[in-house]
Amino acid sequence: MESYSQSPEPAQATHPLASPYETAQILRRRLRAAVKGRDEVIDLIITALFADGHVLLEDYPGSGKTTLAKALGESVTDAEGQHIAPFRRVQFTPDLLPSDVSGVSIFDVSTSRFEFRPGPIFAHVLLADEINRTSPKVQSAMLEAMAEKQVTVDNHTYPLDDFFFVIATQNPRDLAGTYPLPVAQLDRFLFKINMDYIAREAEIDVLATRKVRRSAPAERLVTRDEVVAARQAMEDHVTVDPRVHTCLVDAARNLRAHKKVLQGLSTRSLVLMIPALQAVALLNGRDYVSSQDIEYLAPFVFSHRLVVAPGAGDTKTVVLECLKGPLEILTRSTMAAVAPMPQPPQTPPALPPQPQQGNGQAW
Amino acid sequence: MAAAGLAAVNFTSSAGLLAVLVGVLGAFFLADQLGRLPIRLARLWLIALASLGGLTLLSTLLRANDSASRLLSSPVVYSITESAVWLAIPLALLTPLLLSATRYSLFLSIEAALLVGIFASVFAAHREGSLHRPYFITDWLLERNYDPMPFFLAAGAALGVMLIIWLLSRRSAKQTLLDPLILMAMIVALFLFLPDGKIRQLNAWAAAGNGDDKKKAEQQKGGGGGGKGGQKKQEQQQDKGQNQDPDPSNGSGGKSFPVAVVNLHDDYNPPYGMFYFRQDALSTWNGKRLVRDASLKLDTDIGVPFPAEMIEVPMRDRADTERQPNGKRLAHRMKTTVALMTPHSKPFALIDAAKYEPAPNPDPKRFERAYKTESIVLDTDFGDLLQRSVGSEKWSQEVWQHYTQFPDDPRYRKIAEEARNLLPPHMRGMVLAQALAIKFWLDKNTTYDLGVARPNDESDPVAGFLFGDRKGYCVHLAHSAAYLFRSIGLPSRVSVGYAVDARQRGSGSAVLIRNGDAHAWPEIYVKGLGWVVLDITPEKVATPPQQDKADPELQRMLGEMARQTPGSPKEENPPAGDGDVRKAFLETLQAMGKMLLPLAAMTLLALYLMKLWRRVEPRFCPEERLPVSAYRATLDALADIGFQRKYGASREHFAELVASRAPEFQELTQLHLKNSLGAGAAPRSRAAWLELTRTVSRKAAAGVPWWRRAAGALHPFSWWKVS
Repeated sequence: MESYSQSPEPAQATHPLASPYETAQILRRRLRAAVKGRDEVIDLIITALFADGHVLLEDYPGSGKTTLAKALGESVTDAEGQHIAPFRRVQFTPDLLPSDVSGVSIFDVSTSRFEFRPGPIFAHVLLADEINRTSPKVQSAMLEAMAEKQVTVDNHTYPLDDFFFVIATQNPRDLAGTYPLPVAQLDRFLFKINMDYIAREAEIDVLATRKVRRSAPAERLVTRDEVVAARQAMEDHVTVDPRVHTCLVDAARNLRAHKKVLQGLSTRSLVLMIPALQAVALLNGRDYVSSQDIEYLAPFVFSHRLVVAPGAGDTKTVVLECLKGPLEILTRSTMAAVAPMPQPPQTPPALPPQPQQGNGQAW
Repeated sequence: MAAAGLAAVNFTSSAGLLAVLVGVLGAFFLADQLGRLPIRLARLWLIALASLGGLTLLSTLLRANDSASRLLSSPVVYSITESAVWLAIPLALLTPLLLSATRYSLFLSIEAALLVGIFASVFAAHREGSLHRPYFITDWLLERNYDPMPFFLAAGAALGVMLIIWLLSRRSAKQTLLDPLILMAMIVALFLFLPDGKIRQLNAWAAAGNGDDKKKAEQQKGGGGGGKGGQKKQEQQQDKGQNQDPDPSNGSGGKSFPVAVVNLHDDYNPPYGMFYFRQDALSTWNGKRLVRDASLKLDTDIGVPFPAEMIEVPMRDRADTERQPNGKRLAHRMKTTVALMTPHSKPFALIDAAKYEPAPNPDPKRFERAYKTESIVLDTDFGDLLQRSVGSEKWSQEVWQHYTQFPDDPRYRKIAEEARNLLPPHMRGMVLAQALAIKFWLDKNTTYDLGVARPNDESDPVAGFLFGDRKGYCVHLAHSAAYLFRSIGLPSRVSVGYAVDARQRGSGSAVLIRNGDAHAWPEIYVKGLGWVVLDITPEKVATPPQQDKADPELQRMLGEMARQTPGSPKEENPPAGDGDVRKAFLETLQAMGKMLLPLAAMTLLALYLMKLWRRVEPRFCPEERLPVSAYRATLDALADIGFQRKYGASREHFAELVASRAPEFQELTQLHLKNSLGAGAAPRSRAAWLELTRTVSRKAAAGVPWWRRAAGALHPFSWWKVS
């Protein structure tokens, strides 16, 4: 991944993707400074944030997920006039109630009216810790908020901010007394990331730099509006070739037909995959989606949506196996294709030229 | 796997063939269906094996139990249970195996191992030159005078090679390690277990019955008790002619081995339930016992040597034209071919022999000699002949006397009368009814016992038996019967040869004769019919026949071999047309070579032209094709020196690999992909593209030795797989 972010691109100051790319790089640098040895997870989280999806982390306690989520929340500043907490954390327990997450209406004696007190869900980044420990009731309230970006309390619907991003975690081992999320609910998460212990060097680095990391990094903050705008720009300007669609559908069909797979992929997961692919391409400094992106993302997007037969082994292997053929076709097809008609420059002239920043990575 | 299932059928059973086929198909269907359910494999295996065990037990009980066979007929019960079991075996074993194979790679190996094992076992049966199933192949080949063994060996070897290639070509590394290991273990197991006793025995017999050198070799081997035993038996067989007295106890004491195989040319079931093959007859009373007629004037039907040309046996009375009062045939002509596996002093034939003809030895390695016979066989039971009288008008007084002489002992006459008195009064006058009564009396009052120790040189084999404990075997029974028949004036004699249960033939045409089938039986001369068997079968049996049932497989196999015409292509005598075929083949090859050479040259030229064109295309192609064409030219150049993208790897991944030599390749890849998958690359000059291509090619080739580069440049289709 890293090598491609440095890949040379013709400098074009006014490229519409220059600003989103810069935003992503700032976030990346800030998070990497805060959490060591988790570069891949950081990339995936930024990808999910840009693709407007949510992330489920499956890992053991003390692996740095809170730090990560907090660093993400703290990297984002509010736009003027808005007062939304950048980061909230909810520890999910069996006795938690939906109102504990969404907020409650309280009778105000002075005005004789019910007044809504927003819950922790009204934040930019929400860390839903151990989401499988809470009752299905709370889980479903949570999942409604994630899918619809709104909360309904006492028949009144309160919209959440566009930025709203959830990092949920669950412990894969200690399953006693939990309510495991069914596949239908797992489907709402863009990624399920299994975190392993970090590399030896990274772990040593964590111990060595524990003091330094607490001080704020030198990087500037990213505004909420920048991220929301970046989502739009990415959707408009990162090209997804029709052959990529074909490849995804072929892979999904392969998976559905695979003998080890009991339940295949939903069409929704393929739809969600597109912005994620665009986000990865953006993060790697490209304005098109390539077969490499699909190969990289497919295990994270598809694995938790599949139900494989008992004893079938690793889902990732199955996914990659089914992906191989369609990917090969996609790769080969780049040779056969005659280049598309030259398109007019995409840059709207109204956009002000972007100043070059950071390490000189610009479009 | 379906083929494997079929092969398994061929090799295990014939009854449930259809059932197995259905079972295999069912297993595939079930495995496919169950694969969609989250079923636990361990549970599936348990259910499958338990149900298989249960079903087998049930059908065994059903077969053992009479009530079911009484309700339906027993063949119906048999076929039902048989097909149920054979249906269940593939279902119960294949379904979980197939399902497991889709989930665990280990089972894939087992599946492969099973496949190889089944095929190998089928072909291994042919390895030692013994014919085996599948019959339809061997029969087809035999009909065309080919030796099936090389064919099967070649097919087996080809199959083995194919399977090994298949196993090795599978992708996973663990798999490749595991599969050859399993394969090797299997081959070892095959060599240890598969050439089963049957084949070994067969070869031992073939060796034993075939020349002295082989006999010695067999002896030197020493280990095979069968070999030694076989030789001993064989000597006994050789002595048999002089001995006059085939001793059945010899046959059943040791291991039974085949002495001959008789192919019937027509379907025939003897009315008395046994095939009697007469080799010799004892009719002369020498004062002590019955011996062969020394004058050679009587018993002419057995004084025939091995035929060098057609020999007509002087038949006296029997004709194949006579009919019974109810219109049924009395007797008919019947041809057989006899192939001897051990030396015999005289030929024998199905009773009553009419003609002996020479026949070529089908396989000198296995058979001693062969000849054809024509017999006039009876279609009537003894019971239908009761009205007839005995003897012949042509007989002189001496002949009559010859066939009715017996020890001067009134006790015989007494027993005969005692037997006659058992008959209903109206039958007492018929002579043959009296004979039948004597047979029944003997059946009732004697005990079949092989264990009796009666010295062979005892003057009279009968007196000690009939007036003693009445325990004895066929020699005693036959002599007793002959004396008793003679005591009431019936011309009779004792015939010696082989008797084989007619049921042993089954539905085939071959009758296998083994050493244990040696027999002696009494005969009576019926007027108009000649010598007719009236064998004694005691009701009480002290020692059950020790000879095991003849193996129908072996019987069929040997019959097949005996039917083979000699001179079939063996190593020592190749087929006549072989040289011509080889010549024709070479000529065809030459003609093809003349045509092929220019064709090959043209193909090569086309390949080089294509290679060249792909390399120079970026110089001439239209502007918008530059990203593809330049990239492809670079890929070709890389392929020449051995860099090639692997299947399923992305362009970026390949670029990363090459980047260590030529970092510019990444840029080229990016440009190419951007052009293809993106919204269009910024236009570049042709010179820039060509420069990039050249740089990459030069840098990548930098560290490559010159000969490798030259080989790459000369390679006509290095570009073939580039994509």
